[in-house]
Amino acid sequence: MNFRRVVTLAVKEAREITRDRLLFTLAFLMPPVMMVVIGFGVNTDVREIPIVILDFDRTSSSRELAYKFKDSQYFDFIGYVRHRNEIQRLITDSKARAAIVIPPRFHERLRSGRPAEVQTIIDGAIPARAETVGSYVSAVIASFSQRQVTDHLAFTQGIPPAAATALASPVSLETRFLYNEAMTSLWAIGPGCIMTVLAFIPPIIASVGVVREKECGSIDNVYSSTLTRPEFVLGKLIPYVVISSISFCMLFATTLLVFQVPFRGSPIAFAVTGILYVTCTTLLGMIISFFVRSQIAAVILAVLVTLIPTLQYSGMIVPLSSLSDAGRLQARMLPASYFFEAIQASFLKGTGFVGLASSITALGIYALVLYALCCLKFSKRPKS
Amino acid sequence: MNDHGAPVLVWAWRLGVVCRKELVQFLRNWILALFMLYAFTIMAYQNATAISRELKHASLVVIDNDRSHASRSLIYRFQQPQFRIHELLESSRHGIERLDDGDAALVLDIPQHFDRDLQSGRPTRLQLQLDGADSARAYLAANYAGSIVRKFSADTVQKRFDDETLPIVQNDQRVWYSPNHEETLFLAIQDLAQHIFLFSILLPASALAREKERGTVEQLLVSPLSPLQIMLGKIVPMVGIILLASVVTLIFIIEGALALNVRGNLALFLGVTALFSASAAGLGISIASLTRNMGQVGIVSITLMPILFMLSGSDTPPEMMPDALLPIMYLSPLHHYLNAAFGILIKGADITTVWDSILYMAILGGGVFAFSLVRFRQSFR
Repeated sequence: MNFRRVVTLAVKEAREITRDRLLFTLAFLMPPVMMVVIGFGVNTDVREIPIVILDFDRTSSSRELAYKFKDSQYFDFIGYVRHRNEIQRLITDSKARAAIVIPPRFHERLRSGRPAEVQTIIDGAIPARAETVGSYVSAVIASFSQRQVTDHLAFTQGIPPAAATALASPVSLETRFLYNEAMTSLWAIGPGCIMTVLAFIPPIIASVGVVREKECGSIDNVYSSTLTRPEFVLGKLIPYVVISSISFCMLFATTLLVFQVPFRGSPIAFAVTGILYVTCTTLLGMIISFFVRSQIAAVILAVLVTLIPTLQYSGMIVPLSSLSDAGRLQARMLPASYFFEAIQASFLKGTGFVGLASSITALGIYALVLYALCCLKFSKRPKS
Repeated sequence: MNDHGAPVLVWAWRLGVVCRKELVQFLRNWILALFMLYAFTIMAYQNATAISRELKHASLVVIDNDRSHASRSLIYRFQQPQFRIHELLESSRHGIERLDDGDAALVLDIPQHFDRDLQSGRPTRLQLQLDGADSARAYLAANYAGSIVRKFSADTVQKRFDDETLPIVQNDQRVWYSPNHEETLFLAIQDLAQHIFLFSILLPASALAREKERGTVEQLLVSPLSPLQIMLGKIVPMVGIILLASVVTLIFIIEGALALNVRGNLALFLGVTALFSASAAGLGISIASLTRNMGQVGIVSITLMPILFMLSGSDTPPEMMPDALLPIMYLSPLHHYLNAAFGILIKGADITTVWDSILYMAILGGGVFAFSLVRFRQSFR
């Protein structure tokens, strides 16, 4: 490999990129913008679930239960309804996500120490959300129920409230979230955005960069030159990796300064992983560009191959453990899943080089395989 | 047909000619056509089945300091598919190590004398530690574990006061539209919407950008075509192709391979899809009218699309979004389309319920369309 030729090609490519002012500006401006919007927009915290109550009882007990929902920050009580039909209408129209039906004689049953039953209706159109809403509703009802039992026991057994509480709830659970004590979802999502953004942007710029030459015909210069295949791939690769690495540093800074996520790992190890990751995604863009002939196809392929899979299979929205076997295989085929492990390890858990070793190895192998594939796929003697 | 017919017919005929040109161009790019077919069939199937946002096989490490009947019966309640018992440990120290390594998603610590305390009516406290770095999973796991322990606690109370009734409030929970938390239909529709959105933006945008880049747009400009006809010529054939692809997904994948039942009126759904696709195409054209080449189109749309995907309301509902971002969400045609599509296909809603989404989409579509028409006129004067 002749490095002078590689450098010459890289310089030519770099000039071409910097001279397209708009593209160049966008390449640096868009990633942080995208990151800030996604980081603040994607949220797994639960609050203000719109809820309605159908109260057939209208007593102090039923109002007390309703008050529990009104008082909770997790729910947004939109009002009482008078008919079951109204529940149907509100849920179909997505105006309410849950409804509570309190039956007649609710108060009477509870006061006489007998069990009562309320019905809850959850909008299941988005199943994962239905599960969350359902569990929060159950928690409120369970705490109301426990209160009733405590009062009842204190009254019938003639014991002080504290002892009654102990009797009514013998087992309690103390939950502690490690690494992210307050469960700020920005802490989990924010660093993940580095991965997401760098999964899309480098492949697009790189693939268009190569296919443009094919479409314009300027690639004929390369075909007839002394450049060898590995040199061509490397020369094209370097400027894009440099741009993306600068992008990576900007995004890293955004996470620390704008999102204020604590960084507990080794910055150098993390930077190495990050650069390897952008090398992988850039190579992914290049390999796409060797398969297609038009820029349209390159852009669409790059978007489809990177965008939806990265959003769904990288572990950011969907926990990796929840994937089916086929899904996990798909996740492992993308560089994002390896980088995501490194992100989690570096930001919140704070493991150093040792913790990142497996990610670095995986991404390194990934990059080498892609590089070899690129060299094989690129041909200086194209058919037709 | 010649130019001597009625003006309306001439106009329509010319539009027909540009549409045909665009269609022929699309079909000759067979790699793209094949890939589009792949996206709307195999990929749609895969994305609908491979992922799940529910808690599955979260690996649980239990530190059982009591090793009694009661502790075992509690552990037994942490079942598949939500939890998978990874390991039983003897000392609390190793629990943290498992979390650090990422081997465990959660560690449950059962105290000594757990059984004895339960028997004697003394309150006991269990400790649960979760890996908060994976916040999506940690939330779900904490909710599940909480409800398991609540149930266990309630059962213990019930057993203790076996002979008397207690004023316990039972929760009879019904989940409408997906009683078993079946996610496939939701995922299939979400995926279809994303594919429609993606192709509707990219196909017209790149078709226009290519003409600009190669200079063939000059040819269009000297032809007897109005800017409106040129724009419609880019939008109409693409919307047609995408609509056809959506029908393929709906019939062969959703109703065929996945064997899902959709409710609602399919004609209404297709009408809404056409409107959505057209308004996204308008967005694509306005991106192309603001940029000069494919690279720029690519980078603008790849930035815009994930933002609009993530803010579409299907991952984060509107009530949880920061107020500053709500306008972006309401400006996204994808948000209104998903509302309408879930309403029609999952909830069986009719036009009286989804009319507002349709109206929003029409307004947004009209807005971007008018904008790009103005831009288009300016840039070619």
